[in-house]
Amino acid sequence: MKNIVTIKDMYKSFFGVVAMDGMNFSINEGEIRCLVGENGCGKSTMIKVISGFYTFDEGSLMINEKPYKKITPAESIAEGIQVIYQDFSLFPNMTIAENIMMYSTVAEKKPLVNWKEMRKRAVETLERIHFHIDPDIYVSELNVAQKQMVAICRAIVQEAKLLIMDEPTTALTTNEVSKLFEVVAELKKHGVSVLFVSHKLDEVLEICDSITIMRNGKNVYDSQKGDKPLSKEDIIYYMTGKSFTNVIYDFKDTGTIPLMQVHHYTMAGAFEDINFSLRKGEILGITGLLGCGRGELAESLFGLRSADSGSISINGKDVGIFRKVDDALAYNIAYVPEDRLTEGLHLDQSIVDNSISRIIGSFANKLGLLNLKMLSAQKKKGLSSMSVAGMKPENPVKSLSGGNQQKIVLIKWLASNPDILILNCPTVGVDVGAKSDIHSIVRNLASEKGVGVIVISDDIYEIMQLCNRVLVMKDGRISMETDIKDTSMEQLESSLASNEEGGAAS
Amino acid sequence: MKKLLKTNEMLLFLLIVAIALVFGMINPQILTLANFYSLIRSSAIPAIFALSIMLVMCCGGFDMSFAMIGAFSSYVVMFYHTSNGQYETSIFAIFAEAIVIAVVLELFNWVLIDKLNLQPFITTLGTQSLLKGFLLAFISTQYIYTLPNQVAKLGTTYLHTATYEDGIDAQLHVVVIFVVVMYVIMHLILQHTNFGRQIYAVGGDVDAARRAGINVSRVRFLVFVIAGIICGIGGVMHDAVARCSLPLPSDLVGKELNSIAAVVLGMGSQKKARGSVLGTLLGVVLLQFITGNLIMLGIPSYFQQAVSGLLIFAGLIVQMTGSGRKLVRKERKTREA
Repeated sequence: MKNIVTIKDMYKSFFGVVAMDGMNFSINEGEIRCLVGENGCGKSTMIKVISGFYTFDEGSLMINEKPYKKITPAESIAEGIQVIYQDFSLFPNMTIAENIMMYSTVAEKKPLVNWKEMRKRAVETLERIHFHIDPDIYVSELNVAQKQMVAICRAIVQEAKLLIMDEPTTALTTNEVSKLFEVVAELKKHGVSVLFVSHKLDEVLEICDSITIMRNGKNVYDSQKGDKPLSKEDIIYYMTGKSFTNVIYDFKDTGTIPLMQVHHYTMAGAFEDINFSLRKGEILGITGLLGCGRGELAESLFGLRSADSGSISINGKDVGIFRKVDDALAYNIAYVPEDRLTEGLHLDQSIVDNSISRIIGSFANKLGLLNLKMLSAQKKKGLSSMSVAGMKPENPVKSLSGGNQQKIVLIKWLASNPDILILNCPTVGVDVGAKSDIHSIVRNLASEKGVGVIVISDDIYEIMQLCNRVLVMKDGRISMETDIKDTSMEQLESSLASNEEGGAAS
Repeated sequence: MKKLLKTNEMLLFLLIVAIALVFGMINPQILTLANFYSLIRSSAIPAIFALSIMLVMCCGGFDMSFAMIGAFSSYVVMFYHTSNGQYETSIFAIFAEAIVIAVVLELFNWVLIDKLNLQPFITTLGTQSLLKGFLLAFISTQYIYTLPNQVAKLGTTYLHTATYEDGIDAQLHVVVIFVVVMYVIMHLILQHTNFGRQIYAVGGDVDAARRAGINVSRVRFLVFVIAGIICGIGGVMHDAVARCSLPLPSDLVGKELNSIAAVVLGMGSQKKARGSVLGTLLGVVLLQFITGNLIMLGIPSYFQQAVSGLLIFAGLIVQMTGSGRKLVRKERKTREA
């Protein structure tokens, strides 16, 4: 079998920072290989070398058995290498058909555009992956999964031999992921190789023929097609060099009155008759499939949406329904949103300013002037409360990796010393190492400061690692409630799976 | 058909028709051929300049200096020829010279924006200011009322004459041909050439354009060259139509915001927005129709600015509600689903 790409002993550094440190890598024709590794391990550097955006310092690069000292983006495309970046690199101001054909239009260098031909080829390509959509819709109107399909179509039109997909499943729902896998399997049948770059380990294990694990700029594990698949724990071990132990969060009930009680909470079309209580120092997980109402519940507990009926008690006192965020803030509730990029952070602002944005109002005097001395003390205190790798406080938050951004969101909320912390999918798009950091921070908060934590997540593994109790939601209702020590991952997973039909229909 | 109705161009067109009907009911003179010719005459120069800024905005850039560049290049050429007594210079030479100057100046913008990576808005504001100062300090502060003969002749070439009820004549100015030809060429470039795709691509997402193998710098270079050509033509046409050339072109500079407003109106709303030639033309016509006809509605001249401002808001709101809001709502829905 032919190697599409072979990398041998590659070194690459940026201004003295080593990104690749003796990397070896290869991928065969028609192979689906996964590349996993923590953020900053050099994955994206390698992809950028293959796609011609970076040069390399030492080592060798062979593409289609042809050696390259350096390769330009155009040459890489000509060799049949297509990268689908996380942002898909689509043009929002163009239609689907235009986007699919854009690369070919540029590459063919014909002076005029043949709209009919362009549309025809676009439609054919959409057909090929059984994606039924009007090709004249503007890309800005599409959702993430649809955009991804358009990006895949564009690669197919280019007669891609190797499709590199960077974190392709991050923003997809379960159904969309399985649709994506069907398309990938289809491509494989046509002899296209796919390199999956991901840190969602379940999916990695499901889709790939083989796996390459990177750590600190080099490959630490390679499997070939047909090798026995690694266990999740093994992958984590190779990625981080540490093994994680499953210690269930040991919750000791201290108070007599629950911190928060939710009675018959109902929101039409989202959830119905939700009852639960949260005690001081408890970490309560809420899980369920997408569309089961967990997201809406999380938002309504913080007043982002208003429930229709039911009530909430805080420390035994009935406070009714949270109709706006201020209602929840009044009871010292903090909320870490699912989409930290648009809801949790001011991306262009500095890290340090983000870290104090929740409480900056409390440093103002009656005239609205800030007490800068106290403010800078808080800045120091906040940022030193957890380790954020490679951080310069003055840099914009967007310069951080996903995991570190999430830590800043946490710092921002913890500055207000909340009694109740609601985490909505806290580790989406966060790599394993940062994930375990975040978990230990949350556990410490609960056990040492007695914060009541609600974790909403679709990641069963995370729920098992983090919580002492879990609620499973199905069709807007709580279908199961159990202590973590009385259940297992398999049991929880099957309790979700039995929901599948109902969940998809809603 | 349904699709056509939903386009921004259609919405603008309907908006113009609606406003025309309302205005026409108040003063029937507004809907005469003579008034139509006046509209064309007043729209022509803004339309030419709008084409230049539209092109720059299509590729994701911005230009605050286009009107000044047009005025500068034309004034310098007129000043040179008239102060040397060359009143017989060919019109082609004058256009060519103005175009060369304008292209050089737009390329100055290109170097600053593309090569030095400066912020386009501020940079071109700087260019505008620089040119204004340069003109007054080093070239001349005099109005030129006697233009070269062929330019003067161009300024008084009419295709047809119509008369208002009160006996005043209004002429269909020859500049309309220039406008139509330029708009058709621009439409062909943007819609039917590979280069046109690349302009939109750069305007959509620069990084994505680079990844597509587009030479972004080259695309921008050509865009600024074409913008310069348009500005050069626009500058000379402006002097011809106005029948004079001003060192401080107070009638041109300041108007660039109207051209920009027209382009934005023509683009429609939200991310889908991409400049279209027809949309820009309709945007110019809409704005000119409103500002030009207020006097005929009997609105005192000192209210006109304010009223035209209000009408522009109204137009923008109607248009955004038509195409924009729906889009936002739809996006939200898909996100929630």
